[in-house]
Amino acid sequence: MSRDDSLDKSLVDQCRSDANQLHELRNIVNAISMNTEVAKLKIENSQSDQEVFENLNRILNECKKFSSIVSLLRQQVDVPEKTDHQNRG
Amino acid sequence: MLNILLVDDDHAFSEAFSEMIEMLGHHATLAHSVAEAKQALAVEQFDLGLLDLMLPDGSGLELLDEMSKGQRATHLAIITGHPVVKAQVRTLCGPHISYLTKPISLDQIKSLLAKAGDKGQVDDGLHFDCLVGESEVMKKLYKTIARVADSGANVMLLGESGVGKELVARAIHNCATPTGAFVAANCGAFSRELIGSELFGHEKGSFTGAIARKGGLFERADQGTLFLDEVTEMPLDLQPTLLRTLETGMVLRVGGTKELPVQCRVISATNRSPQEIAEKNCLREDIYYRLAVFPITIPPLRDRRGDIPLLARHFLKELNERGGTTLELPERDMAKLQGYDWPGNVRELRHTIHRAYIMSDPESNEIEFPDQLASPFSSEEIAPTGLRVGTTIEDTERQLILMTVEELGGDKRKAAEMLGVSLKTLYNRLNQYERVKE
Repeated sequence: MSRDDSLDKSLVDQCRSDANQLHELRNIVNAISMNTEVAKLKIENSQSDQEVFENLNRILNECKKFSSIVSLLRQQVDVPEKTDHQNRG
Repeated sequence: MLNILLVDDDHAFSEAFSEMIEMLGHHATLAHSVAEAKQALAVEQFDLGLLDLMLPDGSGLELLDEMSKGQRATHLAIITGHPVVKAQVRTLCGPHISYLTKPISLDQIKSLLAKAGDKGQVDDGLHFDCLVGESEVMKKLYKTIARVADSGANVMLLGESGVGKELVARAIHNCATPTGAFVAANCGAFSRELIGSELFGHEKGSFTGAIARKGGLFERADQGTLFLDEVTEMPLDLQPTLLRTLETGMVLRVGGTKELPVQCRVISATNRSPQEIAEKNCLREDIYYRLAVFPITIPPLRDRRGDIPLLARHFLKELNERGGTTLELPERDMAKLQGYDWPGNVRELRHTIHRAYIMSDPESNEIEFPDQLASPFSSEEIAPTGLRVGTTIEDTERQLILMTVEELGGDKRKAAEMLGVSLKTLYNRLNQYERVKE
């Protein structure tokens, strides 16, 4: 495999990984949105606080997942910058 | 109650979705993979199937065949993260499929449930959750709505006043299940000075009274539907701005400098015919073609008289629900309702039922219609009677009897029925008139 082919493969893998992570982020936003709608419905229906808390806890868990994926993406974005800098050096 | 299958590998979403479905009075079965969905489909039939495309062991599309095998018609909805997928799935599965774009809102789900509850799109007599009627012209209209809904094309609704143009616009919106709202505005109701600000919004200080920034109707309808009623009443000098917004998908607030992107379907309506629009030049030609990509003519009520009992019962049901009553529609009045020409169309029928509901005897279990349904706009001709002050009752009676007999071609039995007298009385009167002549 030539150096160019290797770079292409690496780029494709990187894009695939980014796409998967973006898909995951969208799923998390969707879960947050859905749990918020359910919590609103429960409040409208005067259901117990405990039942609403279940959805709020799920929202918090999803927010944590969201945060960790964003951190991971952030690290990945940082990598090419370093490589670029090193190349120039 | 609908039986719903949700196929999605996202547990947090699936559980919340299931909770929501139960709260809305339906039942949901969850499957997190193609294999689990196939197991569920093997033992149960569903009214609605929601499919995620990316599953751990394959694609939701693999389940389309399984779902169409059941005896019960399953309405299908694809959950997609990207609107582009819509076009690809439409190519594979045809246009009659719904889409939910993540993140999914409660309104989207309610709209989808209404659509799935329709089956051939009827739920409680309502088509697309808002239209009533089973006549051939209406069935044709429903097919047109279903076709145009998924296209995203701008639609112009044509028809007489009171035919239900806003309801048809809402039906298109309900059928298309967009993520945004349905926003309706009457172009004839805005003052000439404010219509620009209402449609496109304004920046703070852009004119006297603009004390704060305000988004316009286009912004409110982003990702949804903007219904512009009486569009031909819009001032001609504002139409180029509307045309620019329609062409570019960008809106510029009054007094603003930055264009904002908006994506919404515009449904316009007018009670003028295309010929009248062209002759009276009330709409620029270029904007007409932009708005009327798909023109739909809504039939007047007199062209679908068979729907009158359905509509009348529907309006009465609404009034009964609101008023906590159980009044009924007298069957004997049905012919009268169907025989009238309803120049004010469905709106006039609704008001007539409302009036009859208010006028009904509290002791009775039926609503009470007036003897005459005539409206000042009715096209029914009332024959000139030649009545004038000073005419005796005897002369008036003679005129009425002779006119009625003549109108019915000499059929005395029918004439007696219509006049509300016995056949014997009618003969007596006619003999009396003959004797006077001799």
